[in-house]
Amino acid sequence: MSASLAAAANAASSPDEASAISVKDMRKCFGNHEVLKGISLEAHKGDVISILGSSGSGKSTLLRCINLLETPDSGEVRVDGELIKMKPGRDGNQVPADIRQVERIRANLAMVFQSFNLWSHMTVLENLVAAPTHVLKRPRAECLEQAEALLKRVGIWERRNYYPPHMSGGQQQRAAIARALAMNPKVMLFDEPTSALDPELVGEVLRVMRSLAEEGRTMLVVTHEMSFARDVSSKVMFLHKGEVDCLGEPKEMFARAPTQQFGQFIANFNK
Amino acid sequence: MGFLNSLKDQLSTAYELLAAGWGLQLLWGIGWTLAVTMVSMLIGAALGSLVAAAKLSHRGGLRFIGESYTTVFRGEPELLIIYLFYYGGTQILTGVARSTGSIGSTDILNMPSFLGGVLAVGIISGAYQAEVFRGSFLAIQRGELEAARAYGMSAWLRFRLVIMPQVLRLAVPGLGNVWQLTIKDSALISVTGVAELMLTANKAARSTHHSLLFYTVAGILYLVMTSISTPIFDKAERYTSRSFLRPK
Ligand SMILES: Nc1ncnc2c1ncn2[C@@H]1O[C@H](COP(=O)(O)OP(=O)(O)OP(=O)(O)O)[C@@H](O)[C@H]1O
Ligand SMILES: [Mg+2]
Repeated sequence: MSASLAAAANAASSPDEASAISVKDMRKCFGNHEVLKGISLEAHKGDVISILGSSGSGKSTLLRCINLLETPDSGEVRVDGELIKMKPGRDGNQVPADIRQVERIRANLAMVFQSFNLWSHMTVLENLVAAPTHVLKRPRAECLEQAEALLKRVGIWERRNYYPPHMSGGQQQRAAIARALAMNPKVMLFDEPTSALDPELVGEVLRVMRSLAEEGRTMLVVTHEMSFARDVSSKVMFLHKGEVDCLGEPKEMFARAPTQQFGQFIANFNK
Repeated sequence: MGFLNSLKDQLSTAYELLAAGWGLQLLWGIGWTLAVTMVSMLIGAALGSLVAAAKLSHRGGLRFIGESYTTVFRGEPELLIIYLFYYGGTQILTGVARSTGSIGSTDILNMPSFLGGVLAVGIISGAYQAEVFRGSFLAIQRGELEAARAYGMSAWLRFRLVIMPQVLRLAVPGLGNVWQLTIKDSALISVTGVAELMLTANKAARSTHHSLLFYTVAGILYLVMTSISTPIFDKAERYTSRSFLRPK
């Protein structure tokens, strides 16, 4: 009895070694609209978790609460075992206790946005070195070298001196992924990275993402690309109205939908 | 024929007057006008960015201060503000100096006229610049600010790397307009005795009784200064917004 209690306490204080992101019972309201109703999520190192769900189900809000772009009302987030410290705020909801900690953790959680959000006044190369040099304080020469290598990898090295508004959506998103990689992040967060792209440009971005998954990067990917969810991810999480409706291996989930909701969701996609 | 002759007379008088030293004085006047305008623009840029930040703050108190500033200094006649700073400043300086005994009880310590002038014009310019900066900030893509937060940038880094460069780019055309306003406002500080172009033209007109001539010349000079700034600001805008223009 006492031994099992001690073991439980031990497990709570030294979280799973392999855990990259752990979210417990996260809740978030906008006004009186409860968008996240107690979400828990466990991502191990090397996991590629596709987060699916219909529009408004809370997928973006979940990602944005993980890196504190939105402040969750309650619940805890651990990144690489480290708990993001929160404290009670003025209106009763919690707020980040230590903004420095949040900034440090954000730098480990590079985010890729639906609308790219490259800094439009900087060239592609400058976009890639801005955060590594200023936030991570790494030497500029080293960052430049890495940036050029990353741009070669995503196939837009020739565009390194272009400004983002002069490039196609697919090129901008590949630059944005390179910008994320330049942080050497522990986890990458993707929020519908291909949804703003013309259909013929989706492939080039998915190819890059697939290669990242293959090299063992930890990724949380909000997506509507069913082929990516089914063939590339290691887990699929289906959100419905702010709750985890089901979670599992992609092969099994797509072969036989574990819930009626998910069945309907994929049926709508196959139409 | 008579008209042409009289025009010729007029021109030769004008030439004589300008060559007799008024021309040089007017040149100095231009110099002072530009100095007043530039210093006022700088004061206005510092005040304007603070006021814009206050207006954009989510703290109600700061927003109120910012709103009041732009409302008051855009809503009052410029001349009133200049009088307030110059004569009001003189009154305060004199009061302080008398009470500390650094001047006699009937002496007056004047507000330095250049300082009083540029403060007043700078504060007015700041109210207009605040509006320009605020509008520019609001025109930045929200996603780019979000990306800066998502990549771990502190508030200062976000300001320095993303907000400031983009605000400057977006603000250039608006600042061109404020520059023109500020040149015109600088003429009002002739009342404090700074020998800028307006005061010089006034002096010349009164002492030679050639009002038509000197006010016309001064008018042309102001027009040159305000219109020359247009291509300069255009060029600056092309430079700062180069990332938005198609590469050639
Ligand atoms: N800042 C906000 N203020 C108020 N409501 C918000 C805010 N952000 C999101 N919402 C609401 O929360 C709900 C969930 O939004 P969220 O963006 O997380 O959905 P989503 O699953 O990402 O949808 P989509 O597939 O359309 O991107 C929606 O009803 C949305 O209107
Ligand atoms: Mg979304």
